Parts: sequence; structure tokens; C-alpha cells
Amino acid sequence: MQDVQTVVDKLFLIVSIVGTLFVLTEMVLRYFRKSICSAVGCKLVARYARFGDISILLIGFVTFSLLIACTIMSSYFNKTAFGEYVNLILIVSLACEGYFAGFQAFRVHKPCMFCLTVFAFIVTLSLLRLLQGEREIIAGFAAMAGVFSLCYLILPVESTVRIEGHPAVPAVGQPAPEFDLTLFSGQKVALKDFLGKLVVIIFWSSG
Amino acid sequence: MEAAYKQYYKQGLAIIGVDVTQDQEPTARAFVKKDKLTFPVGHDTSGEIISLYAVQAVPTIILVDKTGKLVERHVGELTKPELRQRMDALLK
Repeated sequence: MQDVQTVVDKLFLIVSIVGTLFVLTEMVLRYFRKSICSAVGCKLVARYARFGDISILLIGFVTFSLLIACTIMSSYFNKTAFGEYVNLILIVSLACEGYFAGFQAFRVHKPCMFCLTVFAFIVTLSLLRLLQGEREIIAGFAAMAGVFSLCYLILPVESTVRIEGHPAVPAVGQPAPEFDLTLFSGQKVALKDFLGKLVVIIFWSSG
Repeated sequence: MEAAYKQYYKQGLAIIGVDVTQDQEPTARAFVKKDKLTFPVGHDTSGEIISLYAVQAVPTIILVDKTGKLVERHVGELTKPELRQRMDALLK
């Protein structure tokens, strides 16, 4: 039993190190405008991130580095305290991964291979942690499932689904809603009168 | 907007101005007069168009292509170059 635990401990450290290197490789590649992932998903994800995908990469890098640091610390110094930090990082990471997975599955509808690999790393590390008898990691998996389900449940703002009492935002790519407008000149116009033209509708306030 | 209208009118650009101010028609009319707007401008008195397009802020600019399809929804002003770029792309 002792041997198994030692193997799991070592495996945990190795997976953390490989994970760090993986993220680091992607960061270097991104610097040269390349990527491990050739899927469309990655480029899409990069566009959705406020400061570009480098911010997310940095978070991933710091997370993995912290995991390594805490794992090493826990074997040399205070096993309980640093073990708790490792669990905490993993639980937060699992919840965040739930969001990343949900975002790709229900928002961009395209997978990003890099993100999915990181997802696999985090899940593997968490499972190893469970094997080490750290039951609280289950909270991380529960949080991941919760966040992932919410991504499915909550519709994006642009969604055309009409919810009772709330006007739906007309979707880009769909026919523009038809309307009539009485002009200041007294004349009446309808949107359909302008078929065959490029129409710019400007809503403004003069008051 | 007025300048863009004059420039692209012949190529098939239509601009519809919708004033969302609910109860200040005289101000709106004065505004149209002062800025010498020549494209059709009207008042969404009932708020029907506003809710149809779920307008929450002004200005909101909606682009509808020649087939009647909504191609862009932009909240905020568009600068002249931004506007030109869209006109050139969509009027091709």
C-alpha cells in the first residue's frame, strides 16, 4: 500500500510538470503566432478572451507551477497545509474547466484541442488526488458539473428565444424584423420598401 | 451619417432614422431641420420598433443587407471610416 501511494505521489508530480511544460510550449508558440492546436476552436477562444488567449495561458501556467511548488513543499515541509493548497487549487481549476468546457460546447460549438488537453491534465491530477485519499476533490468535480450545466442552461444574450415579457434581440444572419414608421414628413415607410438596398437603421434620441 | 448617405445613396444605400425619444417630437423635428437631414426620419411613438429590435441604448445601428437579412447590430457611434468600410463591403 505504501508503494502504491509513493507511485501515485510521483505520478502526480510528473503530470504537473508535463502540464506546466505543455502550457509553456503553447505560450512560446503563441509568441511566434503558432499553436499546438490547429482546430478553429482555439482561434475562436482567443478572440473571446478580453486580453487575448495569453491571459488564460498565463493562468494555466501559474496554476500548474503552483501545483508543482505545493506538491514539492508538502513532501518536504508541512504535508497537511500544502496538501490543502493543492486540493484548493484543483477544486478551483475543476470549476474553471467546467466553464471552459461549457463555453466550447455550448457557445462556440467548436473544440479547442489545447484546452481539452489541459482539461485532461486537471482531471487526471484530480483523480490521482482522489486516489491519495483526498476526498474533498469531489467538491471540485461537483462544481465542474454545476458550471458546465449552467453553460447549457443559460442562453447567450444574442439568443433569439423569446422569454415571456422580455424582448428577444433579433439575431444577426436572420431576416430583420419588419416594421412601419411614420416619418416626420407624414409619409409612411416600411422596412420591406427598401428591399434590394443596404439599409442602415439608426436608433437615436434627440431629447 | 448624412455625408455617408449622400455619398452612397446612388449605390443603393438607404438610411432610416428612428427617434426613440417618447414625447419630444418638436425637439426631434428641430434636430432634423438643424442638421439638414435628408434621409427618412421618423418617431417610434409607440415604442414598437424599439422593442422589436430590443434597443437598449442610443445610438444603436442596425445593418440590413439587400436581401433583408440583419447583418450587424452595433451599439454606439460609428466613425466615418468604420461606416465607409461597412458600406464598401456590403454595397459591392
